Amino acid sequence: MRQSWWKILAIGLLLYTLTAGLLMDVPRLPILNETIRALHFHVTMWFAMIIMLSIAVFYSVKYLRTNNPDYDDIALEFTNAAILFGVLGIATGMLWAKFAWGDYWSGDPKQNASAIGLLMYFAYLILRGSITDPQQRGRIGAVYNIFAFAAFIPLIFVLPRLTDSLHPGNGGNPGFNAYDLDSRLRMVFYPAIIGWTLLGSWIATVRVRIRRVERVLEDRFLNS
Amino acid sequence: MKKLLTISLLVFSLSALAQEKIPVTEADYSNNTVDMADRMRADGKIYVVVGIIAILFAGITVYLINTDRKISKLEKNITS
Repeated sequence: MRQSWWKILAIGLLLYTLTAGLLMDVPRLPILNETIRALHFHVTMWFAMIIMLSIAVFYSVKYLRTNNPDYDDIALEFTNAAILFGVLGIATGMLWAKFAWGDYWSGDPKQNASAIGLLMYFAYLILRGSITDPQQRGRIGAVYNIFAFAAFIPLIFVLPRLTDSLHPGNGGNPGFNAYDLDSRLRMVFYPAIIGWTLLGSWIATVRVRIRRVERVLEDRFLNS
Repeated sequence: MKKLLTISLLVFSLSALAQEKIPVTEADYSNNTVDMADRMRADGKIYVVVGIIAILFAGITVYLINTDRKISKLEKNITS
């Protein structure tokens, strides 16, 4: 395994997250109780997703500039891993919401916006799947990826804050949103973000390498 | 460099502009009126949960490492 230090780092950080996230002292807050620990698992999913989507946008731009199919693979697989994290984020969020807010889905602006965002990225996969020419697929996919990201960020970061949301931000909900993140929670929260992002990137790079091997085999088959 | 500085200053000033929040204080850590899973911790059963999750994570990681190794082998075979 070449250059595997970051994979070891990912395992280490996640082991730390899983143990410290469950064992360390957390603030005793009403309504949240022990579920505050979900912060290290649910919220970090979205952070990891957004970091991986940024990487996908970076490589989409690179693909449009160079037409190198390797960059298209990277953009696609990072988006795939990000979508996985997004789906896990929605599922964990719904479970948490059932106990903190009383319902799996309460039509909270951020819940709705993240569902719309996920649908946009599902459309990305469907769009790619519907085009057979690899060059065209790459170009249209890359352009769509950039636009989807440009719509996704205001959807989940800006719009929910303009109205009352149950999520942290504005509004008069006592659940979680008014509390500031304190330094002891951050000690697990930040390493968790890095750990989950690295794990997602690891999965993405493994799949990129599969695609590269497939392409080499395909070229060899066509040339023989 | 100048650009980076501007961006970082902007980011910091934005967080300063963020709405006022209730800070979590030391008192929140010792507030015994809020129900927590204290009993589970006192019994040491929380370590069972941590153990189970750690085993699961270890298993998934080993699987991922094996997949990684398999692809490395494929890559070596295909270039030689």
